[in-house]
Amino acid sequence: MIEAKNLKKHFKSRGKTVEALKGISFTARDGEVFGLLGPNGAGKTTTLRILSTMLSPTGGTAIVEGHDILKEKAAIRWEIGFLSTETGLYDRLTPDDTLKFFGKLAGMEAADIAKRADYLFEKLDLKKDRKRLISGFSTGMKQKVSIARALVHNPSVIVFDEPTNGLDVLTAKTVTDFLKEMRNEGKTVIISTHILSVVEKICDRFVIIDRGSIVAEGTLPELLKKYEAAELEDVFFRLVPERRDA
Amino acid sequence: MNNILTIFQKEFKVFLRDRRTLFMIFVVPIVFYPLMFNVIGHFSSKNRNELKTTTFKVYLAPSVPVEFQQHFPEDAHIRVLETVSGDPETLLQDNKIQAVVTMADSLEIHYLSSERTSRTVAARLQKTAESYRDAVVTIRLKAAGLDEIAIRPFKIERKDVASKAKVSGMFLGRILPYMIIIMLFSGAMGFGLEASTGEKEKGTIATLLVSQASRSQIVLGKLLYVVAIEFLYGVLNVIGFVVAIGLQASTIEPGMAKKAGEAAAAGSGFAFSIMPQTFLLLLLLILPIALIAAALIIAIGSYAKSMKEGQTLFTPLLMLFILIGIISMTAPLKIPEYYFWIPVVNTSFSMQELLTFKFQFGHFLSTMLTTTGAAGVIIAITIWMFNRESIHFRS
Repeated sequence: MIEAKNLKKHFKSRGKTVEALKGISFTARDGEVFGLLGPNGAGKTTTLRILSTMLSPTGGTAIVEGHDILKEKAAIRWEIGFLSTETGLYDRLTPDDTLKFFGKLAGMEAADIAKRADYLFEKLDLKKDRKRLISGFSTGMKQKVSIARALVHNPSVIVFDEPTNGLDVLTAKTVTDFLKEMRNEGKTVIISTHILSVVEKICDRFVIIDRGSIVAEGTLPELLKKYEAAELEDVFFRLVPERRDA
Repeated sequence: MNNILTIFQKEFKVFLRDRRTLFMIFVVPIVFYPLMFNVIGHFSSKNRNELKTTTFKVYLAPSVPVEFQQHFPEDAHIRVLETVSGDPETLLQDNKIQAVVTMADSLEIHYLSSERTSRTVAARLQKTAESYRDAVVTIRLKAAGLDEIAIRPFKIERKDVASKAKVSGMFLGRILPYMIIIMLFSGAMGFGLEASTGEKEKGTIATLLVSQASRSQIVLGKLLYVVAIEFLYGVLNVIGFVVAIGLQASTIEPGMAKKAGEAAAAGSGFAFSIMPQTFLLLLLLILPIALIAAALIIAIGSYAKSMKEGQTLFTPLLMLFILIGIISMTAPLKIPEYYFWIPVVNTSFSMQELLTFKFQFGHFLSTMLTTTGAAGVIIAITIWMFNRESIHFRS
């Protein structure tokens, strides 16, 4: 479970202070896919980077699987599998090498890494390419390897930043199906996206973020009802421009 | 420690799979240096042969006695011009003639130091003039009823008693510290940037930062890799350079390189004169500066947003270390004691002492202490920088 409590983040850029997060709170429960929906620059990536201990919040905190992100960063890294917006892979390694590298960093035994790699490559349809150099892979294949890399140590919390970004329909479906499967295994899955259909298809609950603040939170039916809208797109365009005009 | 080794192994695996890098590391030193010295040797030899057969035009003023010409060396290839159309000095300036000889109170040889042909003929004319002067002295002594021994009671001969190993040691002592420092820093720049800024460019830094490796472990793993590659790069380049000089010594201009080459060919030269303990001490001296180079490049590489920015930021430092290398090549006759307390500078001079058989334990110790201390401080700063999120997510 993830519990974000009044998370704030300020960046200093060329003498100016930029408020990336203005105090956001939400809870992502075990066995659900939780979404952060928002336009570019809304603060989605910053939130996920804070939850994965890459960045420290300027204010507030978050509890990930019972560990405070301010005090127990090392413990949190054992619990989470993080996927960044970039594929983040080494071109001159094979998928096998990649999983071995990150598995070893996670303190796994060679046999356990091999077993986990077999499972993940089977699930993600990478078995026949596992010994090829990643430099020759398509974007979709790279994304699958990135997912396998993030999950090699079998984390209980999955933090994926824009997981379907730039993928073709088939690969995007493989990824979303896989996320659903993770949810069914009881893991906490939190994703960020600016694609409304992704939220509609896989998110059990979600928040809409704009300019570092949460402007709406709930399930899809709850928000459609609250804003008397037929589609998520209507809700999104009503909330985001309203804040821009403010 | 396991994570440090895991990161080191990963970096090394990536390095071994890069064919271009492998070519640069292994093939270039073995092919480039012998080729470079071959080309230099070829042109140097060709120029010497050309000079041997070229006939030089020299204008002798009417005041120069006719006997002067009898003292030209046999292979002087000098064509004497007794009359010229125009001013001889102007013709010399235009390199139409290569020298002008006049005689009043003194015999003057006018030549152009900017022209190789003029320099060569001036040297031959100098010998001619000395021979002519000796002949005049002999005639005058005879006329006075004196023996030549009255003004030349003994001959003067110089004999070099330095062993071949010492000669080559002097040569290596001058050139190797410079080469080692340059190779370590230029090697660090290429591979260190790839290992640090390269993570940002490839977008892999985020995944590494959220892995179970601490940031200190990441820095130390990369540091270990860069130091290993620096050693490999440095050693292969130095070996390639030394072997190329040894092989081509005979074709290079006579002098230091030739002596060093002869020493190597005789089997007691620089290639074989480095004793195991000297080699070990040399490696010990190199290690702290290799660490300094690696730590600096990782610090800069972690800060830089792109390889280009990293290169721009590291270049002034590289220039500084090149300057330190040059200082070691132009060392004063007596090296001041405080030089041995300046990190990196002292490494260069201690290497020089080691290679020229003037090893002093005190200097070695002060070098190791100060340079290792400096390396420790720079590594600590690098780790501190790497722990700052603003370094990784600079906007």
